[in-house]
Amino acid sequence: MWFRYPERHGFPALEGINLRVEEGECVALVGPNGAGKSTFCRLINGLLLPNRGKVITCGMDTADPSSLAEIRRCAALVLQNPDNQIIGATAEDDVAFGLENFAIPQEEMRLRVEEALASMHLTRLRHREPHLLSMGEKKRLNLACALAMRPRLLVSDESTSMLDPPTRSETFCLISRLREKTGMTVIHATHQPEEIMACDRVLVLQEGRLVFDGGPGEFFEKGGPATEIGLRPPALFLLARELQAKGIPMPRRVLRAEEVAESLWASS
Amino acid sequence: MGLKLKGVAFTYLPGTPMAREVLRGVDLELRPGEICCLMGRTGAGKSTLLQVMCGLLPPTSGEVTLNLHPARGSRAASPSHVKHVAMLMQSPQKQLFAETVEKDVAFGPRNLGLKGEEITRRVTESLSAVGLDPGTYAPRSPFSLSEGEMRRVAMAGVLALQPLYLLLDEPSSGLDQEGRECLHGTLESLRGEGKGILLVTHDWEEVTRLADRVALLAEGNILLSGSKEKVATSVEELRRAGLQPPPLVEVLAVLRREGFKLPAYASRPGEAASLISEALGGGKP
Amino acid sequence: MKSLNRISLGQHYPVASPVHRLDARVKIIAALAMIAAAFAAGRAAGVVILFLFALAVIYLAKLPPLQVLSALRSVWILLLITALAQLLFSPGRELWRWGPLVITNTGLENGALYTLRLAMAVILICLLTMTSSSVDILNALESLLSPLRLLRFPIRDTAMVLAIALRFLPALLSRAGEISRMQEARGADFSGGRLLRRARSLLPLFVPLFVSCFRDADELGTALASRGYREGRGRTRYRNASLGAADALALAMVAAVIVLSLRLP
Repeated sequence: MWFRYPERHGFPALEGINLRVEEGECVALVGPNGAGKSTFCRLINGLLLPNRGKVITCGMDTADPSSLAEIRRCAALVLQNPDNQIIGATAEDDVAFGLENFAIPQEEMRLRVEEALASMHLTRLRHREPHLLSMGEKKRLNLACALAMRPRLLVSDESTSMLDPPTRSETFCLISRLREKTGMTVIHATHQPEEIMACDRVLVLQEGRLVFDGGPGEFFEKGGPATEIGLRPPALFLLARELQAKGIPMPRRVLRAEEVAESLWASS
Repeated sequence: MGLKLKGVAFTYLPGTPMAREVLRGVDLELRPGEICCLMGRTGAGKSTLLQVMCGLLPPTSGEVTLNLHPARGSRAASPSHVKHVAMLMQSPQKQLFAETVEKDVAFGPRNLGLKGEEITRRVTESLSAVGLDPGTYAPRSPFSLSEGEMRRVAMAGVLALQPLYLLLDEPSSGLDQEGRECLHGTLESLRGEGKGILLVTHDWEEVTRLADRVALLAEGNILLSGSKEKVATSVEELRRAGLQPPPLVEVLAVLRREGFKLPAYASRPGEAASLISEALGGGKP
Repeated sequence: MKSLNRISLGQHYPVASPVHRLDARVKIIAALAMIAAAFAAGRAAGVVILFLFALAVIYLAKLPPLQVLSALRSVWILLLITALAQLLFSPGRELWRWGPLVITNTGLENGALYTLRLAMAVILICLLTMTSSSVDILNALESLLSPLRLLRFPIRDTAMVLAIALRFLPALLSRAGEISRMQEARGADFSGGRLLRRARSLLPLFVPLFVSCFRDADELGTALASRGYREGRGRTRYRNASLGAADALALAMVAAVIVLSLRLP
């Protein structure tokens, strides 16, 4: 779906990144603050261009000015602070903003706006002004705006980090369900162990270099990359590991308390 | 003795069509030498509660007393409140404004009316307390620092007031593991010095590590307050507050419902694993 | 913040009324035309007719009349000065004298005329802003000024800048409130004090506000670019801005009233 070749941007924000993300994958992007996650995200949709090498998103080279518009439609970027992405004076207007930019005809626009608002449960808030929305609602609005463009790739630069845990898991759930429904690719930069666990693949950036590329189970292994960058594994994962050590078989990946209980029940 | 709230209620914009009752009758006490964690959903009124406790907002009804002296509305009018109770809001790095770190940290003491040597001493002490070397950091511009460093400078700015009580609104949100460790260390040593700390948090790990007491804010009231074991296992109250219990407690709860004989609380995965494997009869060899 | 809650001068008063439903372009044209007519009318009677029409519109728009008239409070000094200047210094047949002060018949008439004109201008602008949302007004301005594009004036982008500024105003105000509370928590006192000291004491408020604004502006630029906004490029419009029968009728009525006011002897 999109590739990367050895490239280097700025001084020395990112170096020697060479990887490929397939369509439909859910990738967690991890690393300490300042490691280059934001740069990475902005390289994908052509906001930044590499000094060396190429970034090919949805089959188009970001260095080609004539493809930039289509790239930005195809790869939607959602940022951390929801306020700075809301342009419209009402929720509805904001969703329409992106569509207006791409000169989508009015009939089609109305359809997509309805669709996007409904999928994010925002229909009854359509006339609400942004400063009257809660954080969770603003985040859903950001996602609705991204969805209205019918992207094939969703890039989230720590978009769940300003939320409280219940809202965070709701939002992440929405993203996962969307992925299942549409087969969208997701690249999610995050610090949250539970979210990393839920992804298929983990990329770790440290000081601009890619230091790990593998599955979450591997990532959270004792003494593995997670420990190196100081990220604590999710509590349930640790529990499963301890139980495994005591001879009780546990699945490699546990996301919810019920899963742990089921495995225990099965083995008793 | 202590920072006491009795029947504190607060309504935003009372008497207008936009009136919103945020706090309904809060009773809470913060004692010196303890860390109390305040939990609740975003929008439950935690930030408002902190501001009322700090004397920034006058309660619509009820009273806030500090060592038996009632607070009087604005901070300017309650000098003892300013001296003894300090607060750090969310994203505290937003409040930095001075040309050097030193001047910014000195802002608080200067407002207290202190002079020269005393100010310098406090600045140096506070910077060290948050893990920033005064020699290196004092002359630098706050805007040249990383996010984590800026937060520490903001904390130092508040510590320089040498308050008896510290109210912190989600100080660890957005910090990476290293920053969090450093913060926790600082808070533990502040508690050791006899300060009373109220910490707003969502993080059960933080609660497990630091809390002497936990209070749950929801529906404008303190729904529950007590030890971390008590609050973590009070499923009904947590549900009303819109919060999830810690994952380990959830697992234990599910197993207990299935009939296993297990306690309701475990603070560490290792502990939980031992309890569970015992209950299962030792597991397979 | 309190100031966000009081109904301030000219702020959008959302109520369902036939005037609110009119296209903003019609309202802008009507307001400007009526103001022009008020200043062109030679006799006070003409202006009075326009004034009565404005009152009728206020009633139709279901706006609280006292609120609208209170808009005049902010310019009462100007009104008073204008009235006095005309009253006391116009040449004409003398009606009354008190020492050096003379009031003539033309003085009376001019006093009424000029005062009414000014009052009309204020009330009409108020009517406009109270019956149209700022977004509608901006879109209308953009549409009306679009011929300027021929002169290479960046109308679309200017309108976008203004629209964004409007959208972020409440957020900016609340950010300012937040920062001032943060500094008050450190003992800052933003109330009172002599002018110079007060200006300096606002530094802890303004510096962080500016810094955060710049950071946000940066992110906003990223968001704009990511969402496909390109300067000067064609965009379709979500909101329909088509004129209807009511708009035509309104314009006709306004034209009639203006003609009447100008033709009065």
